[in-house]
Amino acid sequence: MEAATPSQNRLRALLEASLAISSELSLDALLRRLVEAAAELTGARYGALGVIDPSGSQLERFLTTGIDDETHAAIGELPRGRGILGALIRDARPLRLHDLKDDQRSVGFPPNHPPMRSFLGVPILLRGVAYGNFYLTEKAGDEDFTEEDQELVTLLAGQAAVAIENARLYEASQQWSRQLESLNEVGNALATETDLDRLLDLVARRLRELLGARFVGVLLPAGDAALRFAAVAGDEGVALQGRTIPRSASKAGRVIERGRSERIDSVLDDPEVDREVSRALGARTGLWVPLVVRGRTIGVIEVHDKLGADARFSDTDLRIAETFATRAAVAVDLSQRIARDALRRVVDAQERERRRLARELHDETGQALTSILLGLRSLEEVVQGDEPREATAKLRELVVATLQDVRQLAVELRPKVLDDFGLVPALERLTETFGAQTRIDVQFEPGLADERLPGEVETALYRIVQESLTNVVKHAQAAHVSVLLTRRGGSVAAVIEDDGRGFEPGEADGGFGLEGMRERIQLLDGTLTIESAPGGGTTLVAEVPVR
Amino acid sequence: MSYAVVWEEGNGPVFAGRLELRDGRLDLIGTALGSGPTRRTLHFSELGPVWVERRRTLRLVGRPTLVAEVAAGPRLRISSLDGAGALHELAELLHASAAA
Ligand SMILES: Nc1ncnc2c1ncn2[C@@H]1O[C@H](COP(=O)(O)OP(=O)(O)O)[C@@H](O)[C@H]1O
Ligand SMILES: [Mg+2]
Repeated sequence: MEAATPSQNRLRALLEASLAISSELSLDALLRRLVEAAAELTGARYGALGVIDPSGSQLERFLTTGIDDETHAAIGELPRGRGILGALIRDARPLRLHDLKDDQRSVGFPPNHPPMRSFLGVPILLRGVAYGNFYLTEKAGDEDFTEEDQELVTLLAGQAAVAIENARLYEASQQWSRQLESLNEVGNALATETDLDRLLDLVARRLRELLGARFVGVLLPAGDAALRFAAVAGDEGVALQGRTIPRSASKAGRVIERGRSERIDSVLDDPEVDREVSRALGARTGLWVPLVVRGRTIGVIEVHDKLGADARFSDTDLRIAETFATRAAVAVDLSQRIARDALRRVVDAQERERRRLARELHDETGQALTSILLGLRSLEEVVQGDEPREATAKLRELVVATLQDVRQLAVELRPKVLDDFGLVPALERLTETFGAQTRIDVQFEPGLADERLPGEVETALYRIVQESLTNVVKHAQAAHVSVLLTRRGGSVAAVIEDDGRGFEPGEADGGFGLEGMRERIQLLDGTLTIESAPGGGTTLVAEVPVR
Repeated sequence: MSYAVVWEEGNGPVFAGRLELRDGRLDLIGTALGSGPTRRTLHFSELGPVWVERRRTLRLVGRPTLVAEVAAGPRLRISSLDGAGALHELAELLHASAAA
């Protein structure tokens, strides 16, 4: 049998090394096999393989061959990538040296390091990305490494690159699937929570955990011009709970407008970011993800600062937040609907109750009082003597006053004219009474033809005008107020305008008046707009679509 | 707590505005036809007897009226625009505050 030539041996070793890649070795074991093969193939006494971490600045692994454990322990820590090793990390090109210490980039060896002279360094490259380097030293027989050695190691480096990349992809996919799993879990938790406040709280807390973020807030529309932090998670953010921010001058508003999420690595450099919020949080980075259901944007999630050394969020984080937001949006929409239905039932029931009471007062009590009144009249005609006559007259006077109160109460509960003749006559009556009692000059312009609107629209607009007029007396100190009904295309609007002292609509914190109006109008998919400024009067527009 | 009211002192003008009750006093804030914004503050200690007047001729704007004697001034008469219930609530609050 013929002895194998040296280059046949080399090829066999190379083949074995390649086979190892497809076997089920761990990355470390595999890289070890490769570095051993490289040392053996090139006749190097010492071999090493350094893997650069994903940030590209330092070594994350360093595997050696030819150095026994004792020596290894005596040398101590991993090389930190200075000197020649560092040069190869920064400049991924092969390097051959006759003597390491002659190179000007050399920083010398640590104590207890065996002497090394001849050197071959080969980068581990794949599609232009450097994953690390092979380092070989002390070629046998005091020789220098050859061009052929370099080519062989370059082949091995190709194998190493594929292995490292696969391992990284695998790790990333593992992480992604772990996150998907928790995402799924959280999604299921969301689906079972129907109380809106608790749901929003859950959304904020869970997303914060999922992303490892410092702050998560859920913003929902508050009127047409503002957004409100409906839920927040993260210690520094609790003060933001309930805070409103303008839609127009905030990143959150912009993201809602565009319906597209955004990732910002430096909030300071982005002029769209709301300064007040980012300052309150001391935020450095941010993610904004819209909550979209069936093409409608119902809110936005705002996230700040990844915890850890690097505050920036990755593409994966953005993807997680988006996936999460998709599920959260459906849950939020559902619980808003449930809340709306509940509110609608309460409002309807209240109106029904008022109508029933008003009718009872008007028909039963009113009729009874009227009969008593008639009876007293006839009685007055027949009673004899001053005293009984006076007593009857007093009684009659009392009944008249009571009848007046009962009628007024019935009207205040719910005017019959609203049900029988509609919104315009009802508002005519309301504004007349208002003017007579307050002496505020009131103009009513019924810009509607003689038409009836759907019952719930008539009721809502009537109640809104009623509450607005009450607000005018209570707060405006106005001399004039006008009430106008208009039809604009497919909708009807009530406009109540006064020339009083005005107020800052964003800062109004009164009772439930404005809030109640807003809720009422939202039940009908309408909008409530308030234009006012201190000293400048107030205009309130309630607009409702009418089919 | 605030109510929409109209009020009158003696035979003076009828004002419309709001009534606020707090810290042992009563604030009336509003305006009257031909007069600018006004604010009238009365401490509970200045108030004498308080009652609800239902006789038609003694009503303010046709509604049951809360009447209060004021120590150094004409009678104060207040009607609630928030519905009849509010007037009795107001009367009760004033009685409770006066007793306290
Ligand atoms: N027409 C108006 N003119 C001036 N201020 C108003 C007017 N309407 C509302 N406001 C302000 O908005 C606040 C909230 O109104 P609202 O929700 O109805 O509560 P409330 O009437 O019980 O105070 C009021 O306290 C007042 O400061
Ligand atoms: Mg109000």
